[in-house]
Amino acid sequence: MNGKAPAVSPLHRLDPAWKFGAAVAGVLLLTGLPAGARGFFIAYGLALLLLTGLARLSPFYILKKLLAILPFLLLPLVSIPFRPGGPALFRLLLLRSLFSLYTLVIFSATTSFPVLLERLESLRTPRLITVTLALMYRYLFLMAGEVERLKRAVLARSGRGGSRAILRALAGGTGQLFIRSLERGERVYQAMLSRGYQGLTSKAGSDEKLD
Amino acid sequence: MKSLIELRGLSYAYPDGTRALSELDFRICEGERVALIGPNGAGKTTLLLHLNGLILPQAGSVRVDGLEVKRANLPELRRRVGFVFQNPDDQLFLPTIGEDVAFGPRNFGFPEAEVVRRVASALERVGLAGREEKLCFNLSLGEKKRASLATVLAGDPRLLVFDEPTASLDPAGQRQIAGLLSELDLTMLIASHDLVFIRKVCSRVILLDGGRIHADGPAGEILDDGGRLAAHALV
Repeated sequence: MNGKAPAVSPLHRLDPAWKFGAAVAGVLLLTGLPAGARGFFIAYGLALLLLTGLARLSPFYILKKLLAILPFLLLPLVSIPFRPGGPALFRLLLLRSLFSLYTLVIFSATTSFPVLLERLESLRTPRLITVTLALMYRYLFLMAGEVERLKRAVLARSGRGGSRAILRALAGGTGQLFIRSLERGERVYQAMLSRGYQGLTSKAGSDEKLD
Repeated sequence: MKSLIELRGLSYAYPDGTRALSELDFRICEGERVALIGPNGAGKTTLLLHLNGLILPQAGSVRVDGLEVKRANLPELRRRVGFVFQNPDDQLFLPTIGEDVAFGPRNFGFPEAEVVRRVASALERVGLAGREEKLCFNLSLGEKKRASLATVLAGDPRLLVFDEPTASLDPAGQRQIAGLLSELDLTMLIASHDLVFIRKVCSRVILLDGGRIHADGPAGEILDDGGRLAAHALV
């Protein structure tokens, strides 16, 4: 999810709530369609291409994002082609996954996250969900930063250790990362308490409590 | 002068039995800007965490602005004490600065129009006027520190507590924070190792080491005593 998408196209300027709704509807539709609905899949694919053009997104950008996420999607599917009737099912699942991902890539590239949160809140999304999303978004970047620092520290001292040693150090680092995140979580909670946090208060100051 | 912080016989030991604070007694009057100095592990942060009840006193008592630090007073205490943590990434946890600065006032139950007004005014006081929409992770460290200050100013506190406000800042950033704090007409307790900064901002210094107070007096007097500072690993 990008930070502040500049309003470069009509799709960027569209109300994020509509985009969110459309993206969810698109993905649901894809999961419900049978393999025979060839016409629909073609139409959906064309619509995606049209939206890409409309949002002035570069095909390379889309491809890069898809390739980055695709391995995670393919992993659970690897055994399917070897079952009876597998290849057809594999093709269908692959198509669905690809199109769903493509839909979400367009959505995230054209929508600013803070604006989306605001809109979701104005649509009476439970505050528990919007606050969780907001914290997740903020800490995603901190986590990425910690991973980057950890990697640098490992590489800086890996000398002639070879890739195996680096891998082992990074694996140990994952545990470190978990502990660091836990500690950070505690410090953040202290900072929240210091500013009067007593559960979830809604924007209007009503007293919707978490516990 | 009305005393804003009053410690009487405050002691604290960690769960493993290590004594962090031993029978501390002192008063800080309204309007004073006091530095808390001492080597690493002296107990500075533990002491600060008592002031808004993030740690409750085990023995002795702490009073802030006439309120005793105890569970029943926590909501009111947290409104009156603005606590700025050392690492701004712990303090700024929402996506945009505006949202983050609004967090305190919203928790304190102010109506939305008042929240918006407070956010704008707090950001203006730290030199970040009109930057409500800016994303927190895109800020420089100096900006993050100032935004952290804004998050507590928006609650209109009676006392400001800082843990290492100038740590890892470049000299220009340190000067900027020193300038900002000097202009604020508020009582402050600042834990810091930055003696240059303390000279600029604080009139009184308390030296803490091993959980005990080793000196308490005018900043100039204590900071000029090179022998004593060296004895406590401060120079």
